[in-house]
Parts: sequence; structure tokens; C-alpha cells
Amino acid sequence: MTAPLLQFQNVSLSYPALDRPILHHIDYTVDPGDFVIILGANGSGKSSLLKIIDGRYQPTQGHLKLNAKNINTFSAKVRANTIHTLTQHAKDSLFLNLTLFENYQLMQKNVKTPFKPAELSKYLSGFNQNLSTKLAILAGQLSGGEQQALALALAVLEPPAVLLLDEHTSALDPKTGQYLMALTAQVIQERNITAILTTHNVEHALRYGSRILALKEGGIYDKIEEEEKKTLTAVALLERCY
Amino acid sequence: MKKLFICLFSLTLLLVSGCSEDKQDQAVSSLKIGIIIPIEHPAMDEITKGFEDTLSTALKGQVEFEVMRAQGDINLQRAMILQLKNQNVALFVPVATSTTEMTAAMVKDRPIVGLAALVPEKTRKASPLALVNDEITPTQLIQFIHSVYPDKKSFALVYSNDDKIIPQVSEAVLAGKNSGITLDARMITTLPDLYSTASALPSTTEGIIVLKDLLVASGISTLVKEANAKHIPLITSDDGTVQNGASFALGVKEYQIGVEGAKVARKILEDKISPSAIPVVQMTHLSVFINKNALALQNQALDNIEKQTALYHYHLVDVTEKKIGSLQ
Amino acid sequence: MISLLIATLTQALTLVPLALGINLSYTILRATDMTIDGSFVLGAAVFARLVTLGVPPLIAFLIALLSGAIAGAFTALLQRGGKVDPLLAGILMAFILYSINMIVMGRPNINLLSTPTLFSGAFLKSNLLGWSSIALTILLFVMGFYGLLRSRLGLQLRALGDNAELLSRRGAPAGLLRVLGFALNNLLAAASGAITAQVIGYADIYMGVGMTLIGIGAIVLGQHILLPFLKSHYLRTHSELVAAFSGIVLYFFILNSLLRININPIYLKLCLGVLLALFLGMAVQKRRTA
Repeated sequence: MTAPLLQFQNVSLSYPALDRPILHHIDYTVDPGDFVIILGANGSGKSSLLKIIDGRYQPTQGHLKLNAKNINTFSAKVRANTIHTLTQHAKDSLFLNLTLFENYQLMQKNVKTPFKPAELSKYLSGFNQNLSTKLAILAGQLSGGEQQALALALAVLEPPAVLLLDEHTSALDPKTGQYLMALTAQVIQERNITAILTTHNVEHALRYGSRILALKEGGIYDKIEEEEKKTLTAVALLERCY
Repeated sequence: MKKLFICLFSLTLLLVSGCSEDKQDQAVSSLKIGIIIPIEHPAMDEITKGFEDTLSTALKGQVEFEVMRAQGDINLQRAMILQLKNQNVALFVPVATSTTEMTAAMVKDRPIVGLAALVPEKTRKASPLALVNDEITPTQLIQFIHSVYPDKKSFALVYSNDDKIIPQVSEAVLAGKNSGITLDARMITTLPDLYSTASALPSTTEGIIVLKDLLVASGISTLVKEANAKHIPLITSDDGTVQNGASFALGVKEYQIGVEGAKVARKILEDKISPSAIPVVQMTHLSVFINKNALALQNQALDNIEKQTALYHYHLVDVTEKKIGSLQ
Repeated sequence: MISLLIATLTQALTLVPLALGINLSYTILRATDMTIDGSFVLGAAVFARLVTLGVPPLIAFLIALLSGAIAGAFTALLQRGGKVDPLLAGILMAFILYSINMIVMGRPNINLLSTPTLFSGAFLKSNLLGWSSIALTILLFVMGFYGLLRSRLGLQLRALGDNAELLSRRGAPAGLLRVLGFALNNLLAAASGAITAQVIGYADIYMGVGMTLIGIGAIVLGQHILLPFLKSHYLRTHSELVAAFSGIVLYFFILNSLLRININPIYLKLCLGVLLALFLGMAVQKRRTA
């Protein structure tokens, strides 16, 4: 039994201005290597949960532990190196007015031998063939799909302890979205990355990930573990979670 | 499209500037004089007018004036001085101190006559620079006051802590001592100080004197009130403060600065005297500005002022009821 | 024609550091920093006051640079971590600097004509030597700036200007970087001020009026003229330097040319402004059609 990577202990998040809490009494544990799908409708609190992990929100009650230590004891820099987030907005993970190569240079941290442009081309071509020839292009001039592929490639450059995916395909057209989802799942599996993905797409929840956490109105509605998930059908999932 | 535009534009500019330069080079036949005015102001125009009138009369029209107005932009002023250099002007005439300094820094091979300007003598001798200083000496002012009021022995001198004014104050105090006058020098550092300084003046004060002091001049009404209440004369050093309620002032008419400048220019152009060999011209042709209403309010007679003005060969200028800026 | 070029170059040269500084604030940090109007004068004022007090010119120059950097750092701190608009912070700082400059100088104008400066010795020998020594000094600034642009620090400053939120989420010290960026930008403006004072022979309290706008105008001009000739749609390091330099040269070339064709100076700024607007308009149109 490995030690848990992330531990939510009775976490709540509320704003005085709102009549109901955004999140209430969340107890949940994520182990190394887990690929958790957080399933929920708009406003169920799934994005807020991710924002508590990457530090953009502070819980108003309870604790979040990373490697058995309160997450607030880690410096912003350590936290930034441990947790990477991708959202549907490219500007949350890329500098759109900088070139691909410059984005790479900013992302690359302690690597002793940084990529030369040719090596970066080769690395990026594993994510999207188009990227390999566009090192000197501004990130903002890429297509939406290319941007998300680049963001993914840079996020796993030095594999993070946790990769957070906040509906990162939802702004793309269905075909590109499908492609990127498949690519993401493949990358996560190949590199054995612990990941948490939010979605309201039942089909994605079924096809990808090892566990499901269903949220409704800020609380845990259902938990589905690995063994059970394998036998689940779409109809059954819909019935259980909505 | 854009490339084409850029190319066309640069070409036009090159051609136009190239051609106009040729034309200007050919046009230098009569004497050309470059006047540089740093900023738009009626006083600057008066100085220029005095200079142009005097010099073109003296040289019977054989002179051309190129007047450059820098609109308070130092980059523009630099470009203008370079431009005049290229136009082969025979003489540079910058107006005001900073303009004169810039001209002296940039022009080494041609004579310069700085109007209404003063730079240290060491600097002046190092450049081909002659100067007309528009500031009258405090001694002149004190002597004139003593002639107008031979019986008054105690005056207050209000001044600000400007390092241009402070040496003038010492000179004034010394000049007063020589004429048997006690000058009670009172310094202010900010405008609000002026009110407390004015109301603290002893009752024995027989008059208030102000030098050409920008800070005090901007708060002159405070002193006017005090002088009116005490019925003592307020005597200043420029026409603006007289219009605003001082009894009278001994100062310089801007037009006259230009006239003096033209005389220096003739010495350089006609008599071929080196500019640095010409001593700094101090204004001797002074004007006495009077305000009849203020004189009445401060209980002062005009007779002796008129009499002394004539004796000193000064010029009497009545600025009563005149608005600032309309003065000739 | 040659005299026109010489006039243009000598005027542009002293403002090259200023143009580099504006490249840093306007293009890289993406902020309009009006502090420059004040720090340009501050550089001149500190230099002039110190050399007239007998401080060796080189030391006076270095202190002038430092004072500009401090002014810039304050502008960055006034922004309170990006919560206050840099334009507003800059205007406020320029306002404060007016008083500080007056205190530094003790009077509105300090004459440097007969005071030894960094370049006075060279100018005494010959004009060519004088201008060469100025050009050499400017070259040092250009090389230093080029080094900065190529460094990781330069890249981080660029990232700060593009997306400060992402940069600080990545754990970079955004606040410190902002202070550093604005300090450098104003250090360069102060350098221009101190060099200009030595060329024109005095420091004056009003000498900085409009410098920021001239600088931005020149940079924009340079960039939009250079862009169509580049393969990429953006400027980096080499091309940025070329744009800044050619922009400031072009600005003075146009200014001097307009003067030579005897345009009334009252209309000069109108002409320059219309020209700039034309270039900007074309740039926008080009982006739309692309």
C-alpha cells in the first residue's frame, strides 16, 4: 500500500455572498498513479476543487495534504513545479505572445541539458506533427488544437506529481477534442502520471481514467472505484451520477 | 503596398530635403541672422522685434532674419540650431539663458549674441559669445529708491530662497548701507510663508521692496494688501507686479533688450570685434513703471518719481489699468 | 544631404538609450511608462549637480544611472503588484520627480558649458573624437541591452509583459521582475538624460517634456517599417534593436527634413502625428487582411 499523494480532509469552500457553499465536506484520497475523472454538471464545484489543489483558491474549512504534509507549507515555486494545470483557455498555460521555443525555455527548469531546437521539434512532433515546424511561431498564432497539444507537451516535459486537466478539450471542435483526449490519456498512461480530469461528458468519464468522483452541488454524490468502473455502462453511470 | 508606400515616402523626403538644401545654399547672399526663441511668449516677441527693427534700420535692409520657434521642445530646438548652422547664418541670436547655453554648446565657429541671458564669465569667454543681460543690478534699484525717498531710512526686502536671488539680496543690503538705508531682508521658502512674513513686518517699515523674484511676484497681492493697509509704497522690479498693485518698479522694457542686442550684433558684424571681447551688456536704458491707482491707495505722491525718472534719464511708463500682455 | 544625415545621427544618438528603455517598457513589459519624462531629467539633474560639485564625471554618471533606476523601482512598487495601472503609476512618479529634480538641482537650470564632463576632453580635441566617444558609450548600452534580451531574465520580463498571472503561477518572482524591469527602463532614460545634458550644455527642469511620447512614437514607427521586411510577424532581439535604432533615427530624419522644407514648427507635431497615425492605420489593416 503506497502512501496517498493528495488527501482532502473535510474541505469546504464558501463565500459570504453566496447562499450555499461552493464545496462542502469533501473527503477524498488520490494515490500515486491514479487517473481520477471528476464528473459533474456546471456549477457542481469541480473546477473549484482543482483550483484548491493548484493554490488559486484556499479552502475555508478543512485541509488538503500533499504527500502527508499540509499543501500550504510548500512554497509557491515548489507547488508550481509539482502541480501543472491545463484549462480550456490556452492563456492559462501558454504565453501567447511568445514563440513555441520561448515557451519551452520558460517551462524548462532544472534540466541540465536543455533541448536544442531540433530536439524540441522531435519531442513536439510526438504530440502534434504540425508543431515540429513552428518553433519560431508565436503560440497565439497556433490553432486551438495545436495550442492544447503544445500545452500538454510542455506540462509533461518534466512529469509533474499531479496533472490537473480542467475541461481542457471543451473549447475545441468535437473531432479535435476527441483526438486531444485520446492523446492526453495515452501520455498519462505512458508516463504513469497522476492526473485529475474534470468533465461533464459521461462518455469521456467511461472511456478514460481509473476512478470516478461524481460531484453535485458542491458535495460528493458518488465514488466509483477501478474494479467497478470497468464493468460500468453509460446508462448505469447516468443513473448513478445524475 | 506598405513597402511601396515606405519607399515612395522616403524617396520624396530625400528629394525634397536634398533640393531645398541646395536652394538654401544658393540663397545665402545677403547677411543672414538666426534667431532662436525657446517658447511662445509676448515678451520673446518684443525682444525679437526690438532686435530686428534696430538691425535692419542700421544695415539698410541688407539683412535677413530666420526666426526659429522651438515651442518649448528641446529636441526641436536642437534640430533648429543644427538647421541654422547648415544655412550658414552669420550670427546666432538665442533668447533666454537655456537657449543660449544650448547654442553655445553646439556652435563653436560662429558668433552668438545671447539676449536676456546670463552665463558665467568663464563659460562665455570660452565660446564666441556676447550677452545682453536683462536684469538690472540691485544697486541701481536702491539708488533710485533713495533718490525718490531721501528721508526714508527703513525698508523691508522680501525675497525667496532661490540661489539666483540670494547674492542679489546681499548686494542690495550693501547698497542700502552706502545710502544710509536699513534693509530688513525677509526670506520666504514657499508661497504661504508670504502671508505670515507680510503681517509680521514692524510698524516702523517705510516701504517694501521686491527684486525680480518669480516666487514673490506670484504672491504679490499679499504684499499689495499689506502696503495699502500701512500706506507705504510697494516697489518692485517688473511691470507685471505694478499692474497688479505695486506703486512703481524700476525695470527693463523687453523691446529695449532687442535694441541693445542689435548694437552688439553691429559691433560683431561691422566692426569685426570678437564676441567674447565685448563685455556683458547691462541694461542702462531703464524704465520706471507706475500705477497711479496703487500710488493713491498707498498714499504716495507721483511728483518726485517723475522728477527723478527724468533726472536719471529713465523712461516713465504708466501701466495703470492696463492688462498684462498688452504692454508695448 | 550629408549635413542632414549628420544632424539626424547626432540628435538620434543621444536618445538611443531612451529608445531601448521604451522598447523594454512599451514592447516587452507592455506598459506605457510616463516616469521616463521625469527620470530623463533626473539623470541630467543628478549628473549636472554632482559634476558642478566637483565629483568626477564617471562617478557622477554612474550615480545618475542609479538614481534613474531607483525612480523606476518606485514606479513598479506604486503599481502594487499589478493592481494599479502602470500608466497612472508613471504619471504619479513623473509628478513627484518634478519636485525631486528641483531639489537635486537647487534651481531650474544648471550650466555645464565650462564644467568637465565625460566627453568634454574628447570634444576639445575634435568634434569627431567627441562624437566617437559618445557613440562608443551608446554602443556599451546597446550591447548590455542586447545581452539582457538574450538572457533568461530578458525572457522572463517578456513573459511578465505577456501574462503576469501565468508567470507568477509558475512560481517566478513577478513582483521582483517588475521592479527590475522598470528600474532598467528608467536607468536607460536617465542615461539618455545625462548624455543629452553634456551635449546641449545644461540640465533643465523642463528638458524631459514629451520624451516618453517621442520615444514611443519612434519605436512604433521603427517597428512598423521593419515588420513588412521580416519573415516573422513579431520582433525579437536583433530586429528589436534595429527597430528602436531606426525608429529614433527616422524620427529625427523626418523632423529635420520637415524643418528644411520650411514647415512652420507649429505644424511640425501635426505632420509627425499624422504620419505616425498613417503607419499605425496601415499596420492594423495589414493585421486584418492577414
